[in-house]
Amino acid sequence: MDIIIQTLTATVVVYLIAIVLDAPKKTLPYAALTGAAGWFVYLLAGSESSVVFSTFIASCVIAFLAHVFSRVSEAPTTVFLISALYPFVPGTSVYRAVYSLIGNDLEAFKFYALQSILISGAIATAVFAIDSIFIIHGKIKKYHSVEEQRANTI
Amino acid sequence: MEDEQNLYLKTAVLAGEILIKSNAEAYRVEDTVRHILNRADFNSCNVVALTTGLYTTVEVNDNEPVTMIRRISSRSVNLYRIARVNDVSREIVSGTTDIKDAYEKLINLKSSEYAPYTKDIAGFLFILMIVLLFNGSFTDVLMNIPAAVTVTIISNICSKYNINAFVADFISGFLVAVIVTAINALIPLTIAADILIIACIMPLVPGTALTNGVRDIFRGDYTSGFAKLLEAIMIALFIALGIGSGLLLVQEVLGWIL
Repeated sequence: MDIIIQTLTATVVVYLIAIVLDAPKKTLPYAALTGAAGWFVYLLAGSESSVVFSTFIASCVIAFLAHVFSRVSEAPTTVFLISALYPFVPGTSVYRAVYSLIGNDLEAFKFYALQSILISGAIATAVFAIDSIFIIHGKIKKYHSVEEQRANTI
Repeated sequence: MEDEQNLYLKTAVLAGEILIKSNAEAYRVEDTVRHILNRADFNSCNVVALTTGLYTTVEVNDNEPVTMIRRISSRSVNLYRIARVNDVSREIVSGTTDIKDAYEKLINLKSSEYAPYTKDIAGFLFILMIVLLFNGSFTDVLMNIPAAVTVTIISNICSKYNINAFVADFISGFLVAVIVTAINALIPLTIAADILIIACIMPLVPGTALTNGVRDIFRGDYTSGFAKLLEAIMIALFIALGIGSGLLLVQEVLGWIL
C-alpha cells in the first residue's frame, strides 16, 4: 500500500518539476508516467539492496521509457529524462555530507560524499547504457536499410 | 553567397544558439545545425558546439568560407524551447516548412508555454510533495510552507534581476537552513528538519547539468561535457556552502540565547 501511495506521489512530483522546467504541455503525462515507473522500480529494488544499486535500476527504466516516449510523442528524449531523474539526484547525500562536516563527523562526511558521487555515477551509467542500446539499434537498422537499397538498385 | 543560403546559415545558427541557451546536449546542438545546413548546397559545413559558444563555418563554391560565432554566457533549462527547435528543424529537413517561415518561427519563439505564476505554484507544490516522497509526515509538509515560499520568491527575484545562479543557490540554501532550524527550535512539534531542508534544495540541485554533462562525455564531447559537470559541482558546492553557513549561524545564535 505504501508503495502505491509513494508511486502516486512521485507521479505528481515529476509532473510538477516538468512544469518548472518548461516541458511542453503534451509531454507532461508521459514525463509523469516515466517518473512514476522509475520510483516504483526504485522502491521495489530498494528493500533488498543499496541505494546506489536501486538508483541504477530505476534510472535504467527511466532512460528506456524516455526513449520510448520520445518516439511516441515526437519530443526530444531529454524532456522526459531530465524531469523523471530529478527526484534521484543526490540532494539528500550532499545535504548529509555537509551536515556531518559541520558536526565534525569526518567518517560520516566521507560516507555521504562518496555516496553522492556513486549515485551520480549510477544515474550516468544507466543513462549511458540505455542510450548506447538505442544508438546501436539505430545504426543496425540504418545499415540494413542501406544494404536493402543497394540490393534493390542492382 | 546567395540570399537563401545566407538565410539557411542564419536560421541554423539561431537554432543552435537557442538550444545551447536552453541547456541542450552538445550533440543535439551540432546535429540540429548540421541537418539544417545540409538542406542548403554548401560545399562543406563544420559545427562545433561548446557550452559557452557556437562555431559554424560553411564553404560555398569558389568563395571565401563564411564563419559565424555566437558567444553564449547564460544558460537555463528550458525543455519547451528545446522541443520546439527540434520540431522546427524536423520541418525544415522534411521540407514541410519554408526556410523563411522557419526563421520567423525561431525568432518569435515563446520562452514558455505556461503563465509565470503557474511555474511558481508548481515549484512551490513540488517542494511540498517531495517532503512526502522522502517519507515526511503531513506535519512536515505544513511546517515546510514558509521555507518553500522563501525559495520560490528568491528564485523569482533572481531570475527577474538576472542574478548569477550561484549567488541565488547560496542565498536559498542559507535562508532555508536558517528558517527550518528556527522552526524546529521554536515550535514544539517533532519535525524531520533534514527532510525539510533536503526538499527545499531539490529544485536547486544540478540535475540537468549532471545528466546532460554525462551524456555529452560518453558521446565524446569532452569539452562541453566537463563544462557541464563542473557547473553541476559548482552549484552543489554553493548550495552546500549556503546550508552550511546557515546551520552554523543558527547553532551559534541558539547556543548564545539558551
